[in-house]
Amino acid sequence: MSRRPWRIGAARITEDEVATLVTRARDDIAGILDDVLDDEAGLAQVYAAYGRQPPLRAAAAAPAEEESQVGLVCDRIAMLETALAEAARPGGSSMRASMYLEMARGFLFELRSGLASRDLSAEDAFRLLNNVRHDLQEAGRLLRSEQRLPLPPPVLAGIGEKRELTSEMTGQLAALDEQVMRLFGRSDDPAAVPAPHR
Amino acid sequence: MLSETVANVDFVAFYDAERRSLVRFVMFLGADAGIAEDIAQTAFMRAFAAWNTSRLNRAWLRKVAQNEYFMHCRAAARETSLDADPGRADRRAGVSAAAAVEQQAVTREVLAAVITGLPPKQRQVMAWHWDGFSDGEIAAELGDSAVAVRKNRNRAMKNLRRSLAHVGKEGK
Repeated sequence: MSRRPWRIGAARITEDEVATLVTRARDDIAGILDDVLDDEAGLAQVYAAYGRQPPLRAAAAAPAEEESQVGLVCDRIAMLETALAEAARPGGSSMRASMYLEMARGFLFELRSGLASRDLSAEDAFRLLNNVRHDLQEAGRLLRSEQRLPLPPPVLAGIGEKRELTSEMTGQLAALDEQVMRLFGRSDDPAAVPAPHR
Repeated sequence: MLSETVANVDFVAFYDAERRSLVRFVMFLGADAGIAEDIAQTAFMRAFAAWNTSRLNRAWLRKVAQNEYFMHCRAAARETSLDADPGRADRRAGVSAAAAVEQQAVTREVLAAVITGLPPKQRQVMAWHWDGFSDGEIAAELGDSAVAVRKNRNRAMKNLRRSLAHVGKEGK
């Protein structure tokens, strides 16, 4: 009886490697678009289609108030970073879940640093927030599937705690979204502060 | 008057915050940079008209852009002329972007793997997924079930793991 030879499947990379490549491509594209798109001309085109003039960009008025709003947002981000550092500690859950939590923390740090130094565009801020959201969702998904594994009860309890924290963080991210939006002038509140310097 | 000013400022911030990611979203649906720029601009024109309505958000904007892109594809399929839409906006920025993308090996390969390697539905699901939308949100926007979205996402990932294998090794 002849033995069936091993079938060598097509080469594959991991999901994480795909995610890294896609993130790199998305960042590249965003950078390229930053260089080539003319927002003023684009906005003027939109307003002109309705027979209107685009408004003047918000000037950097009320710097003290802006400073304090940015400080509040940075404090909130720092708090989320601390919670994520705790959740990302190895042990209990898989390395992949911890890795996503750690990556989310890194993006939050980048967001906080950029806001504090006033060199972050609105696009970059929302990109970072989206990255954090994505990583939290992925961590949550992994933790949820790990909870279904036949693991010892203390390990399952640890995973459950991490999952709960991840879910809470996702909720808090929505509030952070709103706060960052206000910093960039996108708010229903007329008292919103002007956009940070770009 | 004040409320109009606030609405204007809000729209400007929304435009600033979303323009690049919307152009990129349409590129991941399959459009080249020039078409993606036009389509994003059209979506913002619709958004401007619908501004102040509660339904307007990131998902709404993407849905409009997606529908606009599909309409463009259908029209392009019917057209035989090489200059199918001469009335479109100046595409110089889009052309520059396309040229710049060509220079980035990894980006070029990723776009090729997504655009030519994934069936339209998988591509559509991944474009939403990469913009931070959950399976449930994507399902609601595309009119599918969350299970169908997850299946398409898993299949897309499986395809990408294979089609990007050579890039993954070289790109390290």
